[in-house]
Amino acid sequence: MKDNLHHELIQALKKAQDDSVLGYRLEDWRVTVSRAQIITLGIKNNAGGSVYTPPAFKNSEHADVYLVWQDGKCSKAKVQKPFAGAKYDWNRELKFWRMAAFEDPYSKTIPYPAKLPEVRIASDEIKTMIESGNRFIFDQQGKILSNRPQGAQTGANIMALWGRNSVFTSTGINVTYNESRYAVSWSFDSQIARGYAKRRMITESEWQELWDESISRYEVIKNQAEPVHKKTVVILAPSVVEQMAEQYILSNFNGENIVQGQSKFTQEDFIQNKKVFHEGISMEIDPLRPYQWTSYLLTSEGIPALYTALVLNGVLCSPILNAKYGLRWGILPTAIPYGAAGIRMRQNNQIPWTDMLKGIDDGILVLSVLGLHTQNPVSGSFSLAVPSGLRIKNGHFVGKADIRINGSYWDILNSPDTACGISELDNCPYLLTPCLCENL
Amino acid sequence: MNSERIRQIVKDLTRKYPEDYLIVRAQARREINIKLNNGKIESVSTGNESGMGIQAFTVNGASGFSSANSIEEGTAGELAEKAIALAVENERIGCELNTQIFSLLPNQDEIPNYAKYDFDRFSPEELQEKMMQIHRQLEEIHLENASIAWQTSYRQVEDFWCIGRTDGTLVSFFIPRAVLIHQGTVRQGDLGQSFSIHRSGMDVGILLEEEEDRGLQKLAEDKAIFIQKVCTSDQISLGSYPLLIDYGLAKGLAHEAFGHAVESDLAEESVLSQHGKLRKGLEISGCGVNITDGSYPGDWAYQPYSANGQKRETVVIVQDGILKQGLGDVFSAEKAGMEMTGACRAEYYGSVPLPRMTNIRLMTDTRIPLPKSKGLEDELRNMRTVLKSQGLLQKDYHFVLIGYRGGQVNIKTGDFVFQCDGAVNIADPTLKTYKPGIFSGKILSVLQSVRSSIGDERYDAIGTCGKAGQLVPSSGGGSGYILLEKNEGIRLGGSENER
Repeated sequence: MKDNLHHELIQALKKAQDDSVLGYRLEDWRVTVSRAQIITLGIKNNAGGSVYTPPAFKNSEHADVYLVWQDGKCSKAKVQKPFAGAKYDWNRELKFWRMAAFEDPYSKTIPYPAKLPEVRIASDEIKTMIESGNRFIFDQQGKILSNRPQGAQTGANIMALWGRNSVFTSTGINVTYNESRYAVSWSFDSQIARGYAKRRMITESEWQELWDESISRYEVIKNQAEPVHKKTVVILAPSVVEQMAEQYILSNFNGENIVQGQSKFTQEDFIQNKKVFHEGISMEIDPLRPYQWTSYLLTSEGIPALYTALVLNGVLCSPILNAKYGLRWGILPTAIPYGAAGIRMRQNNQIPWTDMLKGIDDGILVLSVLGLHTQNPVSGSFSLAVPSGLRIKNGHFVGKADIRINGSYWDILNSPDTACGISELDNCPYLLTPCLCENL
Repeated sequence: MNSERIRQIVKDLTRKYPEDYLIVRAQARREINIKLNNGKIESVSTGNESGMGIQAFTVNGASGFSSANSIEEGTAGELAEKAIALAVENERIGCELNTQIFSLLPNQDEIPNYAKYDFDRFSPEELQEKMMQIHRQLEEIHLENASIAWQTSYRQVEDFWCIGRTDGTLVSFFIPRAVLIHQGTVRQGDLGQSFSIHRSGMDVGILLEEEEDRGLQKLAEDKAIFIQKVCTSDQISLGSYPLLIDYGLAKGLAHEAFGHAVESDLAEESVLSQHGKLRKGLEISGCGVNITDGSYPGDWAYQPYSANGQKRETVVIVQDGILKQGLGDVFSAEKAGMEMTGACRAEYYGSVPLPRMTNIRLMTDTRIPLPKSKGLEDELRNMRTVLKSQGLLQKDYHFVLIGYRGGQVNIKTGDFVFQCDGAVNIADPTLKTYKPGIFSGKILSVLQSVRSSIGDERYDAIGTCGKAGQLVPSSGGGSGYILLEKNEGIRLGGSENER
């Protein structure tokens, strides 16, 4: 991170505010610089650090450039270190960017400096680990290999990131901040998978809880359980709930999709606070929570992190709006979820997952599904094969069952029979649903 | 981009560390992306990116990897030293060793850019104008009682790869790619469904062809009419049916159900392997069914050399119904009982390569010709007539599945699924349309149902394969619509309870 690509770039942009490029001066600009050092390590087919998952170190630095010209046109480009030690000819670059400029009536979206929230997104422990030899992640790899269940085909991935990002704008934003990320995941026989992803290292107790849960579920899934029945209740595991949020919530709440007629919802639905889910259900983006994977300080557009309610008690509150679609909608930009993990679902009468489990007489926990990304996000209907489903009888896991689930995501969220069970280990709840299941 | 300079940097680096074994990958990419929404330009973005990834091996076969988005001598040296240090550390903690790379013979090649038009043939302004004109033609498409929102995107990429190894290997190649996509969202009342269609090739020639023949616009109109019918149609009741799948779905079937299951790194857990070895000789269908995978210049998934610098070979996976060969790379082919076919691909210079498919094809020896048709509905009618005349049309239900929406496989259990845009029952003289229902089956039984193909062969269905989180272009198709007999192992449709 010794190169200061952005200094030269910013000087060139400032100059272009005074001296025209192909007859046009720059009115505004924004430069977002991302620098990251990443270390990864993995296990494949029970082998640690194999040729497919060797310890890997990745270093990158690039800048995203957004320009607004005096005639209102704008340009978007990506810049990185010049090739083989050469120097950038910024004048030539600016001319090319001007040639690639496009008309956009909502281009003037460079924000002014604003007070930034206090959000903990950088852990020095991760920085130290990356800079001092990565011993910790090698140890974690060893721990997975030595404790894995006998006979299980084990896979795992471990990743740590230390980043230093900056946002500079012609309006005076000049922010540089650090960030960190740490993620670990493992799977047994491609059936039982578990993971952790935050902006800090995993604690010993978090590791142990996740590991113990994986081992106990792996033991159970070896048994074939009785087939499902008409009255068998379907519970979606948190990882499946998150995938569904990715497929249905992110696309249908995206401001661009709504404005362009590519969402289930219309602008009018939000303006009228249309009731779309059952009254107990709420959804939010909260990027202010400390050390969460999707927490952030400010967006890449320079908008400070803030809390946004998408749905409150079943009623539409806000779409997801970046600076452009905020301007177009006529309201301020919202929080950005940066992936489905950034969407939190709550229910007024949610209960701990352990309590929910005890109350299920005949159910199946869907641990993974095949083909969710192929389903129609607008209609919400789904028909999915479940390669890993754990049968529940009288409050206990009893074995595996092969099923298919059918239903509608929108119907699930609109049903009074839907219930959330929360677990400290997961960002999303367990979702007890009224969807249908059938044996394969 | 200065391809000669990149070759020189890679060559110098592979010679600089004679005590260690390095695979050096350098990539330089130029791209332009244009997106339009409902008659207006949404965004235009440009980028030049380049970088290097180095995989180092100790003499005992432990490896380490490092990468940076920079191609220069100084950085390259630092990366090599980092990769070597990680390999040494990896060996110290007892990693799995693999010395297969040392057995390769050196390769030298320099493949030119096959694009007909230079990347800069048109300025970004000119491309915007062309795109606007093509996009506005969609405004001519009208549906009764329904609205359509249109999004059009164009992506033009020029990748240059150079791969060098300590053994003296130095290969380089260009991958020019361009794709024009129309995405429509049809809404009728509260019902809505989206779809997409594409035209792909190597360069801006695809825009010139579209200006000339309006092929994609015609397809867009046909598809929009079909999707409107799908919106208001019934769900297919869960069951097993005689089927015809279009060439996009044939690609999906071959890719999800067979391609992944014969990749050498997955042999330990694949249902097409036994004790970690490919089950060569296994009969998985009747006679006359073939699956091949290969790289073809001009194709969306073209890649003439593997990411380790081996020539990519065309592989006959299934021949006459018998499992013949897998997609093997240098590291795991022998262990998986396969030949090395240069199957490794990487998403970008910073990815560790894995065996992957390129263009996969499902073909039958028996092909039934179809008369030339004027559009989708005409084609379906012709299909009904031809099948009926040959005694192949089944009673009550004979579904044609249209439009591949993606799929997924669990190679351990042998389950695979894929989804289509919609289905038409050609056993019904009214050609009744149905909502899509996921197509699911078992790898070991699905090909048993393939009988023949009908209509023209097409192998340019494109997609993006997401194996191990790395996104690489994939493509393929079928020798026409593929005819599958009713098979209890293949299930289609929604819920049993909806019957």
